[in-house]
Amino acid sequence: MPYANQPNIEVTELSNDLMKFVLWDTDLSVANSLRRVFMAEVPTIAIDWVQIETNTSVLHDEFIAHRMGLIPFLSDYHVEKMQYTRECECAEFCDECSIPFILQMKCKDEATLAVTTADLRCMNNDTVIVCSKKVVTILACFQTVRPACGKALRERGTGREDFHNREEILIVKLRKGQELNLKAYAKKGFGKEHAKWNPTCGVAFEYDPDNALRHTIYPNVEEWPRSDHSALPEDSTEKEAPFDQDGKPNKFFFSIEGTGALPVQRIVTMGIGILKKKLEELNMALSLELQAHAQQQ
Amino acid sequence: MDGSATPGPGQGHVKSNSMIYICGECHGENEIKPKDAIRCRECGYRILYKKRCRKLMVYDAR
Amino acid sequence: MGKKSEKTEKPVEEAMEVEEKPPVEPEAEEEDLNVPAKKKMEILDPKSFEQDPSNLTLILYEEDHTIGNSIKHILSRMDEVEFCGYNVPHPLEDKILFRVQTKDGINALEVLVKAFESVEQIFSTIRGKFEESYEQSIS
Repeated sequence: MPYANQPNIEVTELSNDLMKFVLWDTDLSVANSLRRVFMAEVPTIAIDWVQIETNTSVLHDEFIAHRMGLIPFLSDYHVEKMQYTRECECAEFCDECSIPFILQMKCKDEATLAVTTADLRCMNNDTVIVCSKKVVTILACFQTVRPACGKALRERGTGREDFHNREEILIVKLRKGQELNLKAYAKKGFGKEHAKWNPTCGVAFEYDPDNALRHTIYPNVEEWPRSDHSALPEDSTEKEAPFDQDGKPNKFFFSIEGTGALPVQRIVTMGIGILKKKLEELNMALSLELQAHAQQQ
Repeated sequence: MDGSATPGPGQGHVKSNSMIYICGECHGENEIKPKDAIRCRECGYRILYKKRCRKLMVYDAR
Repeated sequence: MGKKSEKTEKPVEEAMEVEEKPPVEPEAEEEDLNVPAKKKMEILDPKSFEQDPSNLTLILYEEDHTIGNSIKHILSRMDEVEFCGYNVPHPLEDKILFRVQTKDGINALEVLVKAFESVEQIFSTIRGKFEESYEQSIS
């Protein structure tokens, strides 16, 4: 391919929810496509449909429904097997395109009751059966969709302590006598439709750390902090590299932070996969168009 | 008539226009018809709240 | 679990319909009406494109800057291309317009096919090298 250059990429930092990598020998547009696709088009699972039976809490129904939607769910095992509801053949909900949950809590004590993601029960049959057997439970932890926090993460055993300390997510607090009773369906979706499906919580890339291209003007040069990726000598007092007239952005320092819904490396591989699939589809449509016009001529 | 049901349009054979309200003071339930005094039958408190309807409410979590 | 019973009923209903009216064609028609074929792309003013295949404006549905900008970048570096650019007509319309003007006697569609392939190639390279580097960093 004469016009496709050979970009390079190197992972520089990796933890459960943060990854940094450097991408070079490519164009700004390619780096930006990656950033955009990670945020807007990598699918995850989130609650999208909430039916409230009773709600005597201090938060109104819409407020609670919205909070349910924003809970991240461990999506890596399921999301690629799931169907989008709009593409699914079922009329409303089915196992292929939705996961049912229920939440039934009532505060009977004087003390305030905190309703968290730990109280959310998945209604998939396989979960109920395996609850008593420990060995199978571990397997089930991977195979069921659960909130990406607290107990669900610990039981999953990611092998990293810092990841295990994540607390359960608070949904609402109940006073004595207050009750919350609801059913919800989690669905597959992507960030372009609603931000709750965004698998990232901070994707950024930096290029030209010393501002050699003068794409920006430092408002107050003295106070400007030096970039972590700066190539200027340690002891130099200079804030900027000399102006490079013919320079072009070439090296991109990416940093991707995940919400926990997907492991960070999955966000990257799935994102690139989605871009490739898009281009394949476009190329198919294009060759059809080409055929149609070749016949007419 | 069923005291706990909220009368809806075209629902139920006996058309009743009474509604259940909850007293702001004693939390007791009061059935009130149009033109009735807005007052709790138990304690006489004049602030009443509408009871939540029993219909299941569906929301988009957005 | 009221849904399950609905599901089991469905095939029976369909079977009955087939028995009643043997020709299957009307059913197929009905399906087409319900699910209109989603078009991925369309040539704007196909007549003028047929007259001069070096001049092309393509509408890409359900695409945005993600694809548009990187395709534009590749096209602008191609020797056959005189001019190229893309445009988001309105942020609420999920489509982009792609304008390509190639040099005399070169079909713009063919050039565009090459551009798509190049971009795909770039992302393949990135994926390959990313996986390599990721394997290294965890071991």
